[in-house]
Amino acid sequence: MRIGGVFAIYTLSVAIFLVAWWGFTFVFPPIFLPSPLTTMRKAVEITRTGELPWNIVMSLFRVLSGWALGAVVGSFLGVVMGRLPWVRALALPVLEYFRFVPPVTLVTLFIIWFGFGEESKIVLIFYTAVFIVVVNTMAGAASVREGAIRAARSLGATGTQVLFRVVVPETVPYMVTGLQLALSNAFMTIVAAEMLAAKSGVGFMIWDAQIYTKTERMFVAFVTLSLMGFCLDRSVHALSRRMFVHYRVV
Amino acid sequence: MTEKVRLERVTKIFEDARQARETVALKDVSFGIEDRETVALLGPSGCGKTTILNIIAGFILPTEGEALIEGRPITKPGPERGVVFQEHFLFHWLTVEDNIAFALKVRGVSRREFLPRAHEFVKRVGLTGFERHYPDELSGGMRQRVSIARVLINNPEILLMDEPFAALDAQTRLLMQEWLLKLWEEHQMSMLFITHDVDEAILMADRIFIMGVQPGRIIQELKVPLPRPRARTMLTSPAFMETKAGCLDLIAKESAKIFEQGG
Ligand SMILES: Nc1ncnc2c1ncn2[C@@H]1O[C@H](COP(=O)(O)OP(=O)(O)O)[C@@H](O)[C@H]1O
Ligand SMILES: [Mg+2]
Repeated sequence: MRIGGVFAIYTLSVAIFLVAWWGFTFVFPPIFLPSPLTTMRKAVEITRTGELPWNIVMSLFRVLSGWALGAVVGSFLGVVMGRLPWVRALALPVLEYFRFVPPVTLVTLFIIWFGFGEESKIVLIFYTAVFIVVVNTMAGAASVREGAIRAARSLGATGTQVLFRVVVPETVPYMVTGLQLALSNAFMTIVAAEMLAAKSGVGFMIWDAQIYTKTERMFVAFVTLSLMGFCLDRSVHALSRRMFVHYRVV
Repeated sequence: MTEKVRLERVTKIFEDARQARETVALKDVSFGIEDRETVALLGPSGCGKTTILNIIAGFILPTEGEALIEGRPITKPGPERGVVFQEHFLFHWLTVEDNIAFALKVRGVSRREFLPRAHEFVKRVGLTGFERHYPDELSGGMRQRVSIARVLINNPEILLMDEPFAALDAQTRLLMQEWLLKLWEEHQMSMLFITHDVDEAILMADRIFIMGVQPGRIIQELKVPLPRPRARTMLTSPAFMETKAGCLDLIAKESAKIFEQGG
């Protein structure tokens, strides 16, 4: 399909959604379902007061800092585990176990350990991201083409040079996949965490709106969340594709 | 003449731990490659050609016997043995010039110094104008020329080539063979050239080792009576035809043996 065609379909899809939403507001009272227009008015209002931007910034700050930490540590561990079978064998059972502990279940534990401040949320996001990055990076590092390593070795590269000049570049596409998956997971986790234990953030907005039945605010938060997630995801995709064109990032 | 490489009664056994099975990839292989000599290994797939190259390259060690480079035992890869793989194994995240300069970079040569050297080799392999291209943007023949330049920059004692043109179409292959012959005239290094193409073996080599399978071994050595410099026109010369007939005869006999054994 042409770019223009794709764009038209996208617009149509959003339009149908908005019309359907608007249609349902005639069936349900505003306390259940505020209309798109009221939602937008509310959004403008709490943007003016600075409340919405502040919560967006707080959520983004938590997600991005935890994610960045997880990316650095996860990439490093992933490469080590991918290249050293005995480290992999040691770590894999633990990894397999923790993979099935949903991050949200650790919110309270991390508050006990790290306090009610930002640390506990960042650690939680770090926890969410690090496993995903490790698992993907490890798969990549373990599947580096043996021939490329041999080529480098016979050209005179030392072990360390092979690691940084061949293994890491060959692993980049897998790392990028891991980073993208980690980011969307981190995003979902932070919203849940903020609903449970925070005084700011988009997740907190939903929780706050819910206990006071401020449905309009809740809908503003929903729309904000989906837009934030969408923009974050797209920019990471676009950025990684631009930065790593020649690394065969898909 | 001095020998660059020598294999002495080399046997290589691969063990498949899971199936508790052994493959005798090479059995008692002995030969030498002299200075400036091109030796071709000719044989069907699975006869151990790549295993021989891997041993000389230092990627694997023989189970029994000895492999020597200029009289010293081969224990690991080294830049004096340039390897060209069938699947080129270029670094796809690096440009042509950076691929070619890889050996200089790992030796700590600065960019200012290695770029002119790399460009000289870009020119030598006829890729001027493609310095900043990436391997994924090149044709198969061009990629193989980059991987040859990448080892030539090390000024190797010997070039080890594993079916370097097998993946190319017939026309490109012929062009590349002629090109490599010309390159050889300029550099005059020793060469181990692996192929399963009889014409290619005769055109490139001074001596051909015809190999057999199960176990992988050398059946016969054949001298190629063609003068240097070699040219494509020799492909139809009587001496070429005679050598080819001899090769095919030996190959046919070996295949018949396998056929009778039900292999
Ligand atoms: N790493 C390995 N592990 C087990 N068997 C191998 C290995 N490498 C090669 N072989 C076996 O050794 C034999 C010779 O292989 P190879 O040297 O690749 O043959 P060729 O290059 O002539 O096609 C084959 O039977 C192959 O399956
Ligand atoms: Mg082979």
